[in-house]
Amino acid sequence: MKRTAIAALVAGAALALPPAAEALTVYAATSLTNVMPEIDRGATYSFGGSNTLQLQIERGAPADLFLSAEPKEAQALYRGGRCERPRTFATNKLVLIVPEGDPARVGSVYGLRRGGLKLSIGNPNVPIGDYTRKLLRRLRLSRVLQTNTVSEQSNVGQVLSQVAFGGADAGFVYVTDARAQRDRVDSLFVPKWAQPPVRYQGCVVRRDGADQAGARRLLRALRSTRGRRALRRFGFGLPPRG
Amino acid sequence: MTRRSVLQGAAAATVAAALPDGAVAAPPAPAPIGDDVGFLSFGAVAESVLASFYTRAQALGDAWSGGERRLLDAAHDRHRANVDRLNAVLGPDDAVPLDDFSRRVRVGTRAGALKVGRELETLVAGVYLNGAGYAADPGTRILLARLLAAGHACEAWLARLAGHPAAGLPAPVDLDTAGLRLDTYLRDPSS
Repeated sequence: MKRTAIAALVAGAALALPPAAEALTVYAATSLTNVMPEIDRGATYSFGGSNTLQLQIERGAPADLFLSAEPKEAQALYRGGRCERPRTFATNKLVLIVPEGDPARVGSVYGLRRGGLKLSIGNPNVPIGDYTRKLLRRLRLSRVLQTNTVSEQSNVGQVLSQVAFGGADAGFVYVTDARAQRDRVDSLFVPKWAQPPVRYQGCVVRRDGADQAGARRLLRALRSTRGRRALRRFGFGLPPRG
Repeated sequence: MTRRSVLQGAAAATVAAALPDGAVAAPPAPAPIGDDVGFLSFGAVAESVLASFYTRAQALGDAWSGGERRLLDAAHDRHRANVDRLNAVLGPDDAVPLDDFSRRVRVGTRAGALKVGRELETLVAGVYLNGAGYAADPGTRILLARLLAAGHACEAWLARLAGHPAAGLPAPVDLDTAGLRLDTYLRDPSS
């Protein structure tokens, strides 16, 4: 009898916990995989291509906060009434990576002109793929997508793995990804002037049962001095405060 | 494409750009095709560096006469307007945000300023000349030719101030070479 009473008390206490005590669910771009747990260890993360995550949220996935690697996805959710106004919290740069030692002797982004290389890039729907194509257009190098053997990946982590484990001679990733695997990949020169503007935006998801207060707190934390320090430590750029 | 065909294409675009209004039908609006955006993006970044150069040169104060300062002002405004003009053609998806770079243009003396200014104007005009020959879209070619003419006029003016005769049209400069040079004037503010 005593045992039953204790069990009932425990169950009652569990039910009485406010929703905020449950882990916040964050859907975040793959390139944020390393930094986000540094900012909030308690949240539950689902990392993936921003476009895939956007689609999942549109279909009712239980996300509280969405962190996208380009504005397009977050803005689309905002326009559809599925999230609050997106906020820019980080920037990034693109880099061309090769397996350590550059065995295919790519040399620089211009080395892709020679053709016949195995090149790994994001598919056109995922931010890294979109940014890569913009970068190549700016450099007037779009033709390298025809003269090399291109494999298209659905997120930046897959591009990184493919190059790091020798499945491709070169690939385009964010600077922050290259830093995370610097013992396996080398970064090659990409001109500063041609860098497309890479903007990360976060938005609080609007759906029944979402922990909007918790999501707002984490988004604020990301944009706080502590959050900016963590982002900087992992190689991200920072937008102006405000 | 040979150097000769580049120059012929550029010359045709320059002539079209230089004709007085009404002499020909209105030129086509620029609608960059594919990698044409390379010339325009480079132009937007380079024009912002040129605008910074004229601001720095202005700051030398007494190094210039009143008339020269007014011309420096006008050149700054023209280059700044060119950034907006190029970004408008690039569209919201490809426009170059100015806060992505800080510009490092160091000028300490009048002679130094004239040297840096001429180098920059020549570099950018060389890329426009290249673009006027290579761009696929006729409207983009004409826009680049107009920017080339304006930039060349600034270079000629700086040459006169330096006591040199104005040079002819600059040689075309390929984007790879010009980009490396332009990069030396840029710094990533987040790095």
